[in-house]
Amino acid sequence: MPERGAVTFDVKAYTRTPIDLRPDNLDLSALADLDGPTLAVLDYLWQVEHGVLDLMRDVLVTPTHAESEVTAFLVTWGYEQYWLARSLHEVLTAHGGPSDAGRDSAVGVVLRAWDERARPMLHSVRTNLLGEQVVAGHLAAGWLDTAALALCYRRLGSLVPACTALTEAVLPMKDRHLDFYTAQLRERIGEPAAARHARRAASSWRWPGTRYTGHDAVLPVVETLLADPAARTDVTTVDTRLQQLLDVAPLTAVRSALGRFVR
Amino acid sequence: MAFDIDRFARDSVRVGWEDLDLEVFRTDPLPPESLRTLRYMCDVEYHTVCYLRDMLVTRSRRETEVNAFMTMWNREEFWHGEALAHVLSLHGITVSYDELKAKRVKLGWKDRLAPLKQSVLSNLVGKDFVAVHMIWGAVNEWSASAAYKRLAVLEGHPGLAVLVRRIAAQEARHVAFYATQARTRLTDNARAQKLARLALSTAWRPVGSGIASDDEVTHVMGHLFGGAAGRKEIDAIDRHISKLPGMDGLTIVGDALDARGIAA
Repeated sequence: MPERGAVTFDVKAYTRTPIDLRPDNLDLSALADLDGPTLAVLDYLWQVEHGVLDLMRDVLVTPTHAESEVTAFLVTWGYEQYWLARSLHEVLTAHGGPSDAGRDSAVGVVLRAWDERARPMLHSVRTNLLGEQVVAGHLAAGWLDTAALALCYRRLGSLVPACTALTEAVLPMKDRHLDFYTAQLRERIGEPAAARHARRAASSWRWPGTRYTGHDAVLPVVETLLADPAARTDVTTVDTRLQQLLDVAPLTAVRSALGRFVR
Repeated sequence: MAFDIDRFARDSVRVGWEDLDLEVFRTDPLPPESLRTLRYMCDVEYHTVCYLRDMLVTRSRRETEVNAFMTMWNREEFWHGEALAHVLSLHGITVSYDELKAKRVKLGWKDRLAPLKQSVLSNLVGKDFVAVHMIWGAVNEWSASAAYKRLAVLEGHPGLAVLVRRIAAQEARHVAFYATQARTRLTDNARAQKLARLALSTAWRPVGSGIASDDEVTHVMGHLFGGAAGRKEIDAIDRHISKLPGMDGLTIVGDALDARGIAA
């Protein structure tokens, strides 16, 4: 599949028309009686989606914060993500609430403490020294995170009919986020330093939400959604899109990230 | 007074101006001193995302309520910027993304190191740093709210008065959040009180001081708060501050005006 449109992305228009997925705007009644594996998927999605401010922090401490077009996007993106996370939380609450005990792995506890205390400082100094082109790395990681989550929603919708209405509502939002990252990357990738940052970010990219919990905790969710051979085409499609976008043939970021689950 | 964060999030909307007849500015423009003030306010509103950044690297980030608030607050402030940019555009003053970017880049290392400074301080101080953030936010929002209300009074222009009152109403909700948080965190906490008092009395500057030149700050403060009526608003802010636990006798906003030679 060729990389979808989005040669340009109208940030102004985007900020004016957020996709507001607050619980009142969704029919969550279809999600009243879900099985364990489906709830585990929704729990995982909530975990990842509600960490938006962590991502915002990591981006804003870098030179990216000066990119007013990116920050205008982030303002609206944060709003959309907030309401999506609230809706996911509401579904989980109706089923006894999100699981919370011992979520972070032993390594994850250390990483989280590091990320909250030291990393923003070091990240800030390092990226400010590296300069403006570091933005491309954030955009590539943002693209991959979004594409991976879109893949999860798409698979969830096809596996669990009760979730289809929810995933159908979420996917246009994810597609728009992808359009933004795509347009931004296209604009910047001609610069060799930007291309380098983007490729480096893509090749070291990890599956969303695994940093603190470790791969083992996310494995059941990935198995539920992606173990079926039918999912392989979807994974390949995402990798191909990124290859075209970054103009780098051998990179299979999503397949590599999934490979870490079985290593 | 409790602050209902769920309700705040639910009711949070972008400020609207589509129903206002702002086109009238094309034939009946605002005077230059008001445009200069509006430009300053517009820049400050757009800069909120950078203030958010400075807060996200501190312990304030870990508070769930603070998180929900910051998401909505950030968006509301962004839209205040958009609204003011629209008014400016009707006067032929364009505030583009490229220009905003150039301004942020121009701030240089002082701006780039701001999160680092905040993060170091937060790590050193610990949980009480959140109280400092909250009282700081309260003072800034009180100032912003008063600034918009003063502008509405000074500029009789009907379109502008309605718009800036709408913005002031949102700022007032932000005040409610910050002041409630500050009061809760300062109550019975001598260390937090001491820190907050120290921070306000030594480091607080009028909102926008970090991003605008001294001349601009003095113009805006003089334009909005010069004279007896303006000083009355400033004194009210100082009274609000001094009612918070441990802040008795502080007059930081009035002092800032005095320091700039702005007569009451």
